[in-house]
Amino acid sequence: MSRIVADHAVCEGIGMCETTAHEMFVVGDDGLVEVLQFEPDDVTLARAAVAACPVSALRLQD
Amino acid sequence: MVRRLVVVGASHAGVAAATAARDAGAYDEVVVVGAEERAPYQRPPLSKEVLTGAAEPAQLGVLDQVTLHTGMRARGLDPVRRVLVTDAGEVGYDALVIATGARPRTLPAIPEALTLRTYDDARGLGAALAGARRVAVVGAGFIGAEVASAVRSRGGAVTLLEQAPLPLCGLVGEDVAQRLLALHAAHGTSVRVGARVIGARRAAGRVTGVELADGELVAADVVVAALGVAPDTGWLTASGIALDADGAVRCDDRLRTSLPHVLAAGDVARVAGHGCGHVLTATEQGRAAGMNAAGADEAWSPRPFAWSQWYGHRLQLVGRFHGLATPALIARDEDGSLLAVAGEADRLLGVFGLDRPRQVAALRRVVGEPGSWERALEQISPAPAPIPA
Ligand SMILES: Cc1cc2nc3c(=O)[nH]c(=O)nc-3n(C[C@H](O)[C@H](O)[C@H](O)COP(=O)(O)OP(=O)(O)OC[C@H]3O[C@@H](n4cnc5c(N)ncnc54)[C@H](O)[C@@H]3O)c2cc1C
Ligand code: SF4
Repeated sequence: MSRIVADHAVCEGIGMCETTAHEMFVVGDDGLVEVLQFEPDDVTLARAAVAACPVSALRLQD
Repeated sequence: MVRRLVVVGASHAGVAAATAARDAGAYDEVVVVGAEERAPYQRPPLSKEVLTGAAEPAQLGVLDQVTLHTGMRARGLDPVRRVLVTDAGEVGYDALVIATGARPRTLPAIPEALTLRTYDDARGLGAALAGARRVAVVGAGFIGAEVASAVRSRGGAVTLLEQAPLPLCGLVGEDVAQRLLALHAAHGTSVRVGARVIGARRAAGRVTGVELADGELVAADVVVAALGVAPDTGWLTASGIALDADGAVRCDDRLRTSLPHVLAAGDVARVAGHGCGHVLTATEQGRAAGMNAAGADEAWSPRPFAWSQWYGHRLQLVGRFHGLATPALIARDEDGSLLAVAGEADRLLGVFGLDRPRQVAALRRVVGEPGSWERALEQISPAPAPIPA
């Protein structure tokens, strides 16, 4: 099972992840990414969201 | 007949366009033509982790079911026959997205000056910096500052040469620009403002210094030109497409160019009068162009957001500071972090943060909205004060 890992020290709150997969990510009130689905159903979409983050704050761990 | 979308340029805008069009499912084939040999990668790390050697740039996008041609350069466009001419032959299109970005401005006075735009540039520059005794960076914008910061992180000596009296003033306003100037000084980067570079001093064919118009000589064995970029549209001249004076492809807010079935996005484009220059904008425009090429009617509106990293500090800029009636208000902490806001009437229009990601993020959601100035004042409290210069 793949697992989404977010690095809050790196996240800029840009929200590209949310735009790509709003069912998995939301930019919270503190301006940082909040992962809604740690173990994504749609791994392809999760990969796309991870790759959309311009500061590489997201990883998909196997 | 196979319906084909062709995207020219395989970076932030191009990849966003290709994946959005693919996901919309309107084309049998989505083809991306990119001049660089390397598969698409994130560009911002080039002047940050890649330059210091700390990391490689992450891959960009997931291009399943997209045909990617790397190392292939577009040479021209025939809007009548609807073909893209490349150095590897012609590719027919039903719709086409231009996303060839921009290339760095060079410094004619010093042909040896290095520039930074691609992965190969970053590797070359990194190697040059590692062997340098004194570096001169011409241009003290975000990229110039990041290069200076990379030099300092290796303990090297660096001078920033800036023609303007105060770098970044047009973007962040005078008060913040002053603070940023002080940040350079605090980290051992010497900054020369009002400096006009006229040439180089050389010994045995190698650069030993940069000559300024006022007669001064700045010692340097490596010179970097960080003078901004120009749209990469030389290949489009014969196509008849409407370009602005600086070469940018002119688009409306739907990303449509003057040619039928041809859209443009990213640093190559001027969309409804706005330049790009940032990853978020390039990605949003690319996505909208891809969707519109697939039959949608997405309008793009500016949502400027930029970030930068200097000497381990995080800079974030939302909106604008220039030309606003209300002077910027700044809250400053003993730890050196700062938050600046500017607005007009009851609206917050500009936010700048140095190591204040949470506050910037909170304000970013309300920028431009009626009543948002109130929210800005809350963040800036308890002690708002216009800072003296
Ligand atoms: C060192 C550096 C650091 C940056 N840091 C930040 C940052 O921290 N935050 C931020 O928001 N922005 C940053 N930017 C700006 C950001 O990278 C750009 O705004 C963004 O890359 C624009 O994307 P684009 O796809 O429009 O163009 P580009 O990224 O320029 O990509 C265009 C691509 O098209 C290719 N191409 C050009 N001509 C042709 C042709 N004729 N045929 C085929 N392919 C062609 C090019 O080789 C290139 O790969 C930085 C830029 C640089 C250079
Ligand atoms: S795209 Fe990256 S930086 Fe932006 S909110 Fe998501 S994780 Fe954070």
